[in-house]
Amino acid sequence: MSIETILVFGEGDEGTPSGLTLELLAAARGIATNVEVFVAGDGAAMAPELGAHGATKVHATGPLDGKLIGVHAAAALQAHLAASPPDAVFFGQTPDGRDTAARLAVRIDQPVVTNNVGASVEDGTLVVEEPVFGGTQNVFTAFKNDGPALAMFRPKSFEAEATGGGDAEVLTVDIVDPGPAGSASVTGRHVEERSGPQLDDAQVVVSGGRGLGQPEAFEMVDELADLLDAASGASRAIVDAGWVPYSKQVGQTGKVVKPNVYVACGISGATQHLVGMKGSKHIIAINKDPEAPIFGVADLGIVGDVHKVVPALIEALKSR
Amino acid sequence: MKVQRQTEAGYDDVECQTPALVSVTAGVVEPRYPSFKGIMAAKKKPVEELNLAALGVDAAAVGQGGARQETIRVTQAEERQAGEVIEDEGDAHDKIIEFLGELKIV
Ligand SMILES: Cc1cc2nc3c(=O)[nH]c(=O)nc-3n(C[C@H](O)[C@H](O)[C@H](O)COP(=O)(O)OP(=O)(O)OC[C@H]3O[C@@H](n4cnc5c(N)ncnc54)[C@H](O)[C@@H]3O)c2cc1C
Repeated sequence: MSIETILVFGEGDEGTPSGLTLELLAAARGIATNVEVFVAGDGAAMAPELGAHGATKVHATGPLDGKLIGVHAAAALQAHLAASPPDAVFFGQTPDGRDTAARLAVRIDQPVVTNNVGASVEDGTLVVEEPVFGGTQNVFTAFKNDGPALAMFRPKSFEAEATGGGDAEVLTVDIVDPGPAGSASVTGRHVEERSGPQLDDAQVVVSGGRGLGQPEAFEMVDELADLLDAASGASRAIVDAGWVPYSKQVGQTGKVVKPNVYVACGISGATQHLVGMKGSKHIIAINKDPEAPIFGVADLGIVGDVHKVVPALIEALKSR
Repeated sequence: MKVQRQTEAGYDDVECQTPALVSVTAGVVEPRYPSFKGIMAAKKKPVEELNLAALGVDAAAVGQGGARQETIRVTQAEERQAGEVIEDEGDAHDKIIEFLGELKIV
């Protein structure tokens, strides 16, 4: 057996595929001869960009307004896989990706391996790589099932790259009755306001942690971020404390970031935080404790008080 | 039942009929700490043990033998090397600017 076709669970917003979807296309292209995309929503608008990233076909349900995506996506995918089974389905580690993969795995009784950062083919079998113990070791898992391998991947595990392919062919997938779970409906959407550079793709990220001492001190993190054209991020400690919204959380249960420069202000460097940022090209850490684990991954470590170093840095940048 | 469900962009309000299976993200509520009375009472609660047969699960379908995926190896991840660590003497910000300058960030 070799890997012929991989189906990517495509996500996006207003006709633009997400960065993670394009990353998965690159990963799939590296090991399969044919890559297709399944979209639980309007696929036509995304088809040109998906095609440019190597997808040959886009199988789309059309708009699912007011429906809980995972429920309907899993039911539609089950029917689609029965008609034209790929060798594997790749999902992004996102709220809808997780939901869909879990439901699909049960529906088709196939194993799903989550939390991966790598994919390869060994002896004709799909092998996925998952980091464990705070990213200190990697576990390689081979699929031994008959039927599609379901694998889920973390963001920023692969580099998205356009191949210059033409538009992908758009095919309609029927929406099927998902059973009792179909009673779940989305009655409202709340989109957090976003302005300036976003955590996912900013070249520079400035993050704050509990060492800031109080919620108001996050303002200096935002100010420093502004001056560096950076996105601001946070440790879970201050997200849980309600200082900043969850969308700013970096780490195992937050976002994975890989900027050119990551600046950690008053963050200890717990492994759950490190897994979200240690892929950054350069790391600067400011912490008053010389023993703080964050210094173990920092290229430039400053043992000092954030309330002195950060304001001085802001002043110096302003006066340039 | 009504829940708030995390999304990539914020959150959705979702409603559904019960019975329903609901999972929550970490940190969704402050756990309540048990009282001494509660801890004592817990010791007297019956513990029911279930085996595969009671659950109606085929023994061949679970565990290592039933798994349809296999761990083929575990490797050591590449470690990030620590760089320079300096004590702030009131001029650490200059050092940071120099570092950012070399990277052409400033
Ligand atoms: C299942 C699970 C998932 C998790 N997921 C995440 C995650 O996604 N992201 C995440 O970040 N965490 C996560 N955590 C939590 C993680 O373990 C840590 O508790 C958290 O990262 C700590 O945040 P912190 O560094 O801000 O706080 P602390 O660990 O309290 O560190 C504060 C630091 O600030 C320093 N400091 C104090 N005052 C000053 C000052 N004036 N100047 C300079 N430095 C100062 C201290 O020396 C200390 O090092 C998770 C934990 C679990 C169990």
